[in-house]
Amino acid sequence: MKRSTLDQLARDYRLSEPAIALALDLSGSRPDAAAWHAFAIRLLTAAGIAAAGAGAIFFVAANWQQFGVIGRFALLQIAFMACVGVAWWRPPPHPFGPAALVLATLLTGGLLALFGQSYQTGADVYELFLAWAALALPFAFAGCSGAVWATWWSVLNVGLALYCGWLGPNHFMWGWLDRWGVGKAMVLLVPCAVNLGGAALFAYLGRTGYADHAPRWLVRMLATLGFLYGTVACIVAITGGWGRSVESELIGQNAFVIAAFAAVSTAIAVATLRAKDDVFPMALIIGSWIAISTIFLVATLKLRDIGGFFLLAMWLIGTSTGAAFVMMKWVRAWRVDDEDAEANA
Amino acid sequence: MIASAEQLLHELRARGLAAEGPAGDALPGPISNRPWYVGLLLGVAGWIAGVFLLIVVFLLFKPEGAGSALAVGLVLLAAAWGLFKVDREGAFVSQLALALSVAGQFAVLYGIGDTFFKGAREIAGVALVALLLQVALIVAMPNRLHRTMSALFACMAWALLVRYGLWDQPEWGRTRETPVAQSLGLALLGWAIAWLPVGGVLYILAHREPTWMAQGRQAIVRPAIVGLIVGLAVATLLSQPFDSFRWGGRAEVHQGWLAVWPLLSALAALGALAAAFAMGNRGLTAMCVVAALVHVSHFYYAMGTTLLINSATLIVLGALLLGAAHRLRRKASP
Repeated sequence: MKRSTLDQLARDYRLSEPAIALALDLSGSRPDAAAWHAFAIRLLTAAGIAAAGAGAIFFVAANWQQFGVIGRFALLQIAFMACVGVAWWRPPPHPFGPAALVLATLLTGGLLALFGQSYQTGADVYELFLAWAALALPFAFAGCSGAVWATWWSVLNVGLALYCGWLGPNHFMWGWLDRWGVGKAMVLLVPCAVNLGGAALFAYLGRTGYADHAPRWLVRMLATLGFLYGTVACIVAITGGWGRSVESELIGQNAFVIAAFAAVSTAIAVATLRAKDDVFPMALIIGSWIAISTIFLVATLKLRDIGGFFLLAMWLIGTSTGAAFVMMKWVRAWRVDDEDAEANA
Repeated sequence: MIASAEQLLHELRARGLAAEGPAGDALPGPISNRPWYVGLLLGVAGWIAGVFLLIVVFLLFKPEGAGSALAVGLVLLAAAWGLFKVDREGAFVSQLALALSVAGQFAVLYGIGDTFFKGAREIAGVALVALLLQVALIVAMPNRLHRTMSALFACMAWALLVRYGLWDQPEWGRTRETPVAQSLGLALLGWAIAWLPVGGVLYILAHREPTWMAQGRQAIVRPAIVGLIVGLAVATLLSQPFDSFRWGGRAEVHQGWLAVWPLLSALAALGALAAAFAMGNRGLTAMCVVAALVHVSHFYYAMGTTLLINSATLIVLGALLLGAAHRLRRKASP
């Protein structure tokens, strides 16, 4: 039972201390000795495995220079094979299976990095991450778990972020894109679309027989990343960003970026308002557009006088107040209970 | 286990521990918990708006000197309190109140800091004022989000007070004569003074939950607990020596004990995790796990020791933890 319900009962019925203690115990809200015992065992085991595993990784890293090329490959490949073997021996839903596949996914990247370092392939870091994501995809499918998929999506997102966000304007790929007149804001829409597409796919899978692959927190994580990229794309479009293309050529393109993100936001809002089962997407949409509109105001007002600062403060207060009002209205009307929903996911 | 409020009331009545009807005016309908993401959006927006509002107030009134700034700050805090008071449901003006409060807090800190703590011990003095202010605001401001933020900021102010009061100086205040190295004992003492009380307060509050619930203090204590848990999980970074953040491998750092700090932070995050578990808050539990993992990854870059020693430390620690888990498991089995 939720603490807020108990708080209300205690207040409305003026419950005494012994009555509240009993209520906490009867409702299972307060962990008893057995629950603490189980928690301590889980915590110690997880922390112990994490510490020993990190210690082993540190040990290998510390002695890395001592190994020859063959030794390094052998070490990583033995670890890789061991992980795959464990996943084969105890496949999901046994907890060993997904844990071993997460490690196998990470070791795939380690092997690729070692290959690039040993043979100087000349590949960019983003290429490493994108290749890593492609090679690790079978593990993500085999994992049947949100944790393995989250690891895979993290790798993919690092690759996309490196390509779309960190490559400088003088990089070959940007030169190629610039020749086609594609600006930075437009390119940032690509990871936005990939993540939002992933969120939509996993939201759908969550309602099918593949629900183990798609817990709600994973859908939320992907949607958050998608909106983050979309918001940055719109901010870059508003502030101008950088690129070698003539700025006047990008005006129409930047307007398209903002219009496209607005259209996607509207579509998601309509779908959310129809489904009436989660307010989180609305929070993302509202938060994104508060940020975009605030940057627009900053860029427009130039903040030279008191009026500009006052308007910004009032804008932030007004929009966030309105946002909280409507979101809490939906929370009540749709009877959204985040804690229960997370437990059921 | 009883799952519904009606069943629970029935059970309590059967044991003579609850009245037949509600005492006084019961609140209409169940309380709707504000989801964490709504609180986060409001907190971030309110904080940024508060900074803009502070600039507006300073541009508008041009307070000359610390006294005027203090007066402006107190007026802003009073206005914020009034707005929170008239809008108890937090529906309409609480964001304005939050922004006014943030602006007021900055103005008060500037006013008092500029008056009393100019020069030596400046940061420790301002941190002390911030601590007292935040504790007062936890009690005074009738708003859940504000209380959580105040509890978190109180934790941070306390950590800075201990750090700069006891053993450190601001980076920008260092001269050539100022020794960079502090003794391990003093630094550890500082860490313990800063964070053991926070852990202790959390333990007492979790242990005495029925007492403060019976006293009707849920509205104050529960949001404060959330702020304390977040503080214990994350804000321990404020107690780490600056050298422990230098990840570039600077050769002049020779203090072996610098590597201890990320591990202490990870242990504090596990303590926060236990508190979150005791309060039945799954969202905070997940946040504490992430914080612990981040602290352990900081240990990889920890300065002052070799990677081999870090590795041995973690392997020994892991073995000890697994041994303890094994012992507990054996104790549980018949």
